[in-house]
Amino acid sequence: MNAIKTIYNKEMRRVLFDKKMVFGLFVMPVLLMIFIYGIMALMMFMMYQDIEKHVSQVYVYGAPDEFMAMLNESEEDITVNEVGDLDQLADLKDMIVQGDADYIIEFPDGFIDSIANYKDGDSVPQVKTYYNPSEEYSESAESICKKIIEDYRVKLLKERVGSLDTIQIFTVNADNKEAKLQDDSKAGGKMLGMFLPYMISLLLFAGVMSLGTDTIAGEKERGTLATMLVLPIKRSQIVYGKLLALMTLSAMSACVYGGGMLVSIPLLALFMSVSGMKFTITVIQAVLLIVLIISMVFVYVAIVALLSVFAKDMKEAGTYITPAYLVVIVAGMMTMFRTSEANTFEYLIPLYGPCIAMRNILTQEISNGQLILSILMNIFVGVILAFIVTKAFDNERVMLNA
Amino acid sequence: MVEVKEVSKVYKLSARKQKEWNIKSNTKIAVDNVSFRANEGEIFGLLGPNGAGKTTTLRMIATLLKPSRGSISVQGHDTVKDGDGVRSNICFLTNELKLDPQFTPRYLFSMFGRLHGMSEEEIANRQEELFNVFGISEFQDKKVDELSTGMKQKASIAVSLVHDPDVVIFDEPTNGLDIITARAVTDYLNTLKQRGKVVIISTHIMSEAEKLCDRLAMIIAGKSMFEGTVSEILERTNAADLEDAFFSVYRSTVTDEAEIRELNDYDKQIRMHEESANSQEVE
Repeated sequence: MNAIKTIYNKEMRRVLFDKKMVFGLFVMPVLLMIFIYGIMALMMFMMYQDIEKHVSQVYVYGAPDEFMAMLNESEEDITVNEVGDLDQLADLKDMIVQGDADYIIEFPDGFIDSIANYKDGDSVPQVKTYYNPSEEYSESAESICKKIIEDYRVKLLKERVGSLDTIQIFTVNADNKEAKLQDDSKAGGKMLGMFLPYMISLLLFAGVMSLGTDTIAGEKERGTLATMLVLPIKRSQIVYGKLLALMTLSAMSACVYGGGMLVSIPLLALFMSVSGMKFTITVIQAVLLIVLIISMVFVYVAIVALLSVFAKDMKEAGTYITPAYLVVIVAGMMTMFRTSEANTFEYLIPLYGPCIAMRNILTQEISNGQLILSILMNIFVGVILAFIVTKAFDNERVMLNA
Repeated sequence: MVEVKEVSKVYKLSARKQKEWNIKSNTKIAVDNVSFRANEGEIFGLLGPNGAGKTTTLRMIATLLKPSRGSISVQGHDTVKDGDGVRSNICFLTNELKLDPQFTPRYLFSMFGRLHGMSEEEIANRQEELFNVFGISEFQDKKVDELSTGMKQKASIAVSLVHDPDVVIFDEPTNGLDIITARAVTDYLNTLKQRGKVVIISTHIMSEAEKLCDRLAMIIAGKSMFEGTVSEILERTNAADLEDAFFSVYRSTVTDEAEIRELNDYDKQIRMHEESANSQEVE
């Protein structure tokens, strides 16, 4: 036990007394996270501000005076430009594509007459509109003008049929303000659950990867691991000391990421509320997340240790670990686009299960039993891998390339 | 006492190495039926050219490798059945085993002491003694990475001796050292001998072996060709010094031209194998 503690202390000291490693592992990620989210929030905020400030350029052809009056009286920031002839429309469409104009409304010739002289069975006149959905300004102009066109249509309809109730038959949610019954925090969790498991698993594995390869393959390469092998201690004690230290450091690094996220969440919340979402995390969710993340760290540490122990040097370890890293990335990505509910079996799939579990903690769609199963599976996989690492430490071919 | 009984070490070669070395067999004998005994209060030398199997033999004594055949007993502990028992009684110093460059000699000394189950007081006493002998105190708080080759070697020796082992195994202990550091090391080996320790060294420097070793074994191409005192070998070969004696044994061992060529190839192959193994551990 003392030997495990001594090895553990040595590994911890190796990292924590190295300013560059401390900065790279614990300071840099937080700074990066705050910086990235900060920039994201700022850019989103600026984008919405910019769209709001923008005065949409709307071009109208052949519109009746009444409609022009409605456009001009609108309180929205639009500038209405009348288009004299049809040839000009072609140029304007190009301008829409280029993003230089925002919206075109084209009324057919004789619009008012065809409305006024309408008889049953006649075809109805068509108002054409043009906009560019990939341009934010154009999209914004479309939503403003669409509403005005609809108001104009309703107005003309009223003139023709009197009360709208005669043709409406029934309404849908005319005065039902509770139509949306979503739990705002769950909706926020769903949004966060889309990318958080992916990000956490990715960052965690990256942390474990850099530490693990140095602790095992790096020591093999430097010849310092063989020095430990001539000590009167069990090889398993060396392995446990190293794995525990790796776990602690990775858990510390995970806490740092967590802390970074807590700092970044107000920033995230800022842009999420701008786009109509709310996000809150409860204490229970936070605790469940932490327990799950620690068990994930154990699996990642064991995987990296196993691959490092079979590598001759750090370079080779990097080669072995990259495919595992890709699997972790794919497992994280698969949870992003998952819509159906996960069944219990999925929580047991190594690497993928914990990501689904993490997502479903945030969306409150996981039972305690399923979560415990996922955590136990992680521990089981970690123990098996750690056992293989111990066996590898006893193998002269693996340790000394003999 | 260290007793090596009819020990062989056979390496399994990968297909890549077989192709690389142009060998049909998938095995290679690095140590072939070697036996010797090293006693308390003597310095025992393993003498031989590079790639003869000296380091492999020492690695087997230090439990880093398992013998393919035969057995090794260290202070009554079998290296395969009781590795921990062997490791408690030995120190093994070789160029391939390094100290972590991130730490200071003082920290490493204390850490290795704790791993040997020593108390803080015992560690402090040993530190005072060994750091004085090797003049480590002046750089004890510098990182190993910042030390010169000589300083590193001194620190490695002190750290390996922290638990005052009964058996001291040094693989080419003066290799790469300046004359002053080399002298400090050989002097200390003599001190250890006087204290009744079993000291085993390997070397290909004949003058060093002649001065230092009480008894020695000549290993050529994995085989032990001679075991005895320096005077016994000089007498038997009728040579003036150990170098001449070595070549006399070498020539008598391999007389046939083809055999010499084969032997040279063999040496080369083993050396390549050991170098490839060592390169994994050496920076």
